[in-house]
Amino acid sequence: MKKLKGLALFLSLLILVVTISGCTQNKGIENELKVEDSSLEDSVEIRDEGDFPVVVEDTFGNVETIEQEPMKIISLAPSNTEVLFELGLGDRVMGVTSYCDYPEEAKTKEVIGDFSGNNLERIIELNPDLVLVYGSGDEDENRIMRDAGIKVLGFMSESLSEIVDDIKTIGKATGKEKEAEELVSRIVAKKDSIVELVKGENEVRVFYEIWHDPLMGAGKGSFMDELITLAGGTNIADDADGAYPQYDLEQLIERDPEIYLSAHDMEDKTVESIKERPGYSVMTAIINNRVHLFYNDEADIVSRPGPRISEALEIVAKAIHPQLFE
Amino acid sequence: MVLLGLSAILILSIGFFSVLGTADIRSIDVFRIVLSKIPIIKRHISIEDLPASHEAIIWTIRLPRVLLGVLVGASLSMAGAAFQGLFKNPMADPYVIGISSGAAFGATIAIVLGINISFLNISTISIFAFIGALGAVFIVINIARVSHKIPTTTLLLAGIATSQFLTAIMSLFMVMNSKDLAKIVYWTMGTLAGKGWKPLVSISIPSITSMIIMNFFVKDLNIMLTGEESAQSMGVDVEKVKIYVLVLGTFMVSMSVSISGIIGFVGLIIPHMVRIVLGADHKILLPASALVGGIFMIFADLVARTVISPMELPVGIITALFGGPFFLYLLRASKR
Repeated sequence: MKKLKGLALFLSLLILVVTISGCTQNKGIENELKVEDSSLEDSVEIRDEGDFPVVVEDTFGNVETIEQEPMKIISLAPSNTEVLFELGLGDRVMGVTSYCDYPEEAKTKEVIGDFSGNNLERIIELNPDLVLVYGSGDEDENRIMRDAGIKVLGFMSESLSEIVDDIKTIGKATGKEKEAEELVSRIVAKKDSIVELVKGENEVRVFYEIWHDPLMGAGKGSFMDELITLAGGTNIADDADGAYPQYDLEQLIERDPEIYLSAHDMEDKTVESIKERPGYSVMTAIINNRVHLFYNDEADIVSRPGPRISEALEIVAKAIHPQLFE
Repeated sequence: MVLLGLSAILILSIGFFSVLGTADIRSIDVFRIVLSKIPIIKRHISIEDLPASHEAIIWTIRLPRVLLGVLVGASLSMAGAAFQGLFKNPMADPYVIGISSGAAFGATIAIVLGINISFLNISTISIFAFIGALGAVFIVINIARVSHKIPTTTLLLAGIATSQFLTAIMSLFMVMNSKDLAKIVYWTMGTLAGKGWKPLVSISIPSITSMIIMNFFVKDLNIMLTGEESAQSMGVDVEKVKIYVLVLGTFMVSMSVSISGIIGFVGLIIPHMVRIVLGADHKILLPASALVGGIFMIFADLVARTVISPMELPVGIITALFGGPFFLYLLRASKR
């Protein structure tokens, strides 16, 4: 009996000690973070191109100080994976998600994230220097990774200017600032050339279908809305709040799109099947045979806010003004 | 008398809700367009001055949508009323014996496998949903059957267990085929939009026929309210009635669900509302539920398609939003 009591006492003491030390450790990390924050402005001033440490801020206002050039990187979003490969960092990428299918080489990387979540244990085990999460990422996961000394950045680009900013930030964080600048200027140059090309063309009414049952369009603030506008079209759904609203079919017919765009996301979704939908026969896009479906690669490019955005713009512009690309 | 009144209200609502919509079309033009489609009268009506888009909006989009709403609301409510009486369980709704999960399961398979076998102008997803719903109920009835009897409790439990199982498989499919995730979720939310005439025409005759046949069992259902044993002693073949009512209810609901997706709440609440107001006599309850269900459904759909134009709301949100408080009010009022 006495022995048991002693054991119980010892165990509870042990738990107490571990808890306290855990707490103090956390405090230590918080203090460190504060120090980083205060040193932020100075380090931006003195930093030379390509030199580390650098201080970067992601879309969600998280500030990370990166002391050394990251040699091991994990990307948890297909768009970020594309950026990393474009910047020539392909061989530093250790892990990707099951959605990262471009470039071809990305498919050879270890998959540590899919729809059901990220394999956090594997991420910690791989001990990367930098993790680029999808969107803002998961708060708890981010904290665990940061506690393990991993730098975590999240990007959520919804527009061309944001994509450009994010590429620059990723370039800065990885010591590829020059490459990022070059990539950005290539993207901007191509965008400008397409905008120049469609200049003076008649504005055409465009509808982009996200899904057909129920009908959903690309509304205001969506990536596709910007592409349509830049490509010399008017998105007829741009007064709908929210990026991907369920859209009223009566309004679609009344506003009468001249171009009807969609991704080929189901076997039985074809130009023919769209033409046969109830009420569609009176639509100008149907009468003039201007239904355009994006297949496979094209569908990926136009739906992914990454470095191929200028290609996406070209694809959309071609669908809207095919005569300019002959 | 009540039924005649309700029928009149239903016809008026069909007219009224067909006139209302987001497209900028005058009410008189709506009637001209509809009349111009009716044989004989059409000789006297010319709509050449109206743009083709108006005709398309009214005739191929709005009118079939309203009529489909009537059919879906009516079959859900009537089946709900019959099942509640049959099981003597106020929680019963048309989905309790596995129709919804079976339909969703069928639709999921069609979406995930990307099968394309359109038939009678009905989409592949609808066909699979219909087969899934019938299949699920068939399995449930067979699991619940003890020799020649179907005890109510066993049936409800088998229904719930099968539903959960199918939902689990569906979730598994959704996880493994995450690119189809959104499509499956949207399908299960249900909508009446953009279906056109073809599916409506395909399901209307069998749906209406099964609704009419269901009314042959109102006497038996009334007697069964006194208890299965006493009904048996009064000469009602309880097990036979059960099977017929189950099959008819399943059939009409499966057809609706396969076209519209899963619209909740209507089949549970409308029968209760009608029972509170008109009493539990199935002779009145069944047809009245169908009529009120139809009216309520097209009202909810009108709100869904107009309130935040040019966007739409899922109609299931509206049915719950308006039906819930109104039902609670009736419940309290009837308790006083």
